[in-house]
Amino acid sequence: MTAAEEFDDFYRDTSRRLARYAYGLTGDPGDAQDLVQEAYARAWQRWRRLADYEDREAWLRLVVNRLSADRWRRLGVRRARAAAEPPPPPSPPPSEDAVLLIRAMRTLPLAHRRALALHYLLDRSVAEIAHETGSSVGTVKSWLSRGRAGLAAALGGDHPAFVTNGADDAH
Amino acid sequence: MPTDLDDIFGSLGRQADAIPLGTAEQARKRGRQRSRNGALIAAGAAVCLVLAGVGVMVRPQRHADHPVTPAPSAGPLPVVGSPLEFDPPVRESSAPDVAGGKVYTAWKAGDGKVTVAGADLHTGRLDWKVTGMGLDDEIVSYGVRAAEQGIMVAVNDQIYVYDPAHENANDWVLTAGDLDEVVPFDQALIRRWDINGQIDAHNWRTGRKLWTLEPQADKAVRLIGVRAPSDGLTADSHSDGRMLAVTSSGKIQVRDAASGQLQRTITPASPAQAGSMFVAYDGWLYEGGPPCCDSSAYRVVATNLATGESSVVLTEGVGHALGGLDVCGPDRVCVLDQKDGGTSVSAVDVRQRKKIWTVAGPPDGSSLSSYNGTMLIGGGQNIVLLDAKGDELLSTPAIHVDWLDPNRLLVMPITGAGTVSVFDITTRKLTELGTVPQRVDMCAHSADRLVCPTTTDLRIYSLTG
Repeated sequence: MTAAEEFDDFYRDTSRRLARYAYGLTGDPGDAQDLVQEAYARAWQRWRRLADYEDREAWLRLVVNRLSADRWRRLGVRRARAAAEPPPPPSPPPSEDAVLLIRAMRTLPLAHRRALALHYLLDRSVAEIAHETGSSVGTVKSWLSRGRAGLAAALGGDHPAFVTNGADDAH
Repeated sequence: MPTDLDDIFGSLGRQADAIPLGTAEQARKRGRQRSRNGALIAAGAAVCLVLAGVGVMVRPQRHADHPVTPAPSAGPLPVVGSPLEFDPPVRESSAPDVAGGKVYTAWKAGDGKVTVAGADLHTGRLDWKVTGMGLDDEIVSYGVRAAEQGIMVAVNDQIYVYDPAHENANDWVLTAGDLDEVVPFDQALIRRWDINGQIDAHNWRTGRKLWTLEPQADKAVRLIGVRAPSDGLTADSHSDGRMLAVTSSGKIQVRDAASGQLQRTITPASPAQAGSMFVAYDGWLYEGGPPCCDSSAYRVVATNLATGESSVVLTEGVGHALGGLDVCGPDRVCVLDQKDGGTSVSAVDVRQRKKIWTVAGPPDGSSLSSYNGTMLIGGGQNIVLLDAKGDELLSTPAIHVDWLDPNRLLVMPITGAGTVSVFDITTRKLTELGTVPQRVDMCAHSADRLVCPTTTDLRIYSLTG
């Protein structure tokens, strides 16, 4: 199998999950499209070295984290894409739930958003999030707890409390 | 409306699953283009800096992305010397970089190896060339970054460091990981290891370690050079002599770049974040970005590096985003704010911690660059020039604008063929200098020379006739 074929398989297997994560972090379909493409472009540049990585998807999420945390760079990514590629197809309009959740997520610190996205969009357990972020289990639980509280506060009276369907580690 | 978080996130996940994505082939193509244009390298000597989301450019990028039609009235811009031809069959070339009166560029030849060459900006004469770097590898990424002290050629994770005088037999190689930082200072080439925060300062000529800061519990997560007013427009010039290290707890260590000696540890009013925008200039550090511990969209922190005094001079709430930040006068920092697709530019008095003025910015503007109080706002559909009071001096669509000197701007298309003009800030007069042919990448320039790559060569143009 050539490097390109190997990369294409990896892209096919993982890009949807990365899009979920990028969308959860940014709340913007256009940003998510750009960040996913940019992360994989950078992965292709160093594909040979990435082959030795234990968790290449975690590496991609790290790239997305760092680009999404800096709107200036995010816009730079979009400008770079605009100069080189045709615009991607537009996304369908978000549902009412999604709009409210995106708005609420934007009020949260990045660490809380990241933990919530990993937990609820990628089904990562608290222990797995702790491993990926290099934090303690207690810290991750705190992020999730405070993130949920922040979402409840941002969503207002219609959402007095969230049900989590069991313990965090159930995911 | 479900109140179960799993349900709401499930809805969000389904929304995400419907987002159209590019193809793997497009991602590979973008990866190859990034390698070719060297944008990664330009942002900080190694791809790792962009991956780290941090970069080392004190000054924001200053360009938009739209070609213009050549003006029929302007003739070709005069070429200096003969074009620097890439060895055929050339696969691709990197964006050039200018330093010390010379231009440097690199290209990948038919055998997959990287060649780097330098030419005199004023005569066009080729005076240096090194071939055979790297392996024959379709994925190789490479680029050139030039500083007064050395030429850095990054080929994958190897950074080859060359003497600009080309008289040194001790050229050396630094291996840097994806997430490491490599920052040029006047006194040393300084590298931060991402894995543990260790900092090494290398002698420019020999690569010998001048000093090492061993890993600390509160590890360094970002390196910043301090610019002095005398540094002019060169992004890599940090003649102040101080190196700033941001630690994981958000403290700022002020160190002597030559010795590594700690001069002061500052606990800012709001902990510094590695992913923020930083401008370190004339004894002050300005940091803009989301805070660690509250839900404001961003804040701007001003820190006096001599006294350690620090204060939050601006805070914006949910819905706002920081588009750009730069020093725009004594005790004054200017901020580009983005909200709902619109932008505004504010000048903030650092000592009073309040906005002096606010004006509307160009739609989708995403970068701000200031020189002597005059500001360029770019990244959107229009590039706008504001004076120190916020009055508009120039608004121009769809082109690349950059500083030539305090009073003149270079105005040209980003890529493709087009007209090169100079805008005189004092007289507000736009003068067409001539046209350039089709180009394949970003140009570089000095105050009187413009250097642009084509598919087969590099051409130096005179901006003075």
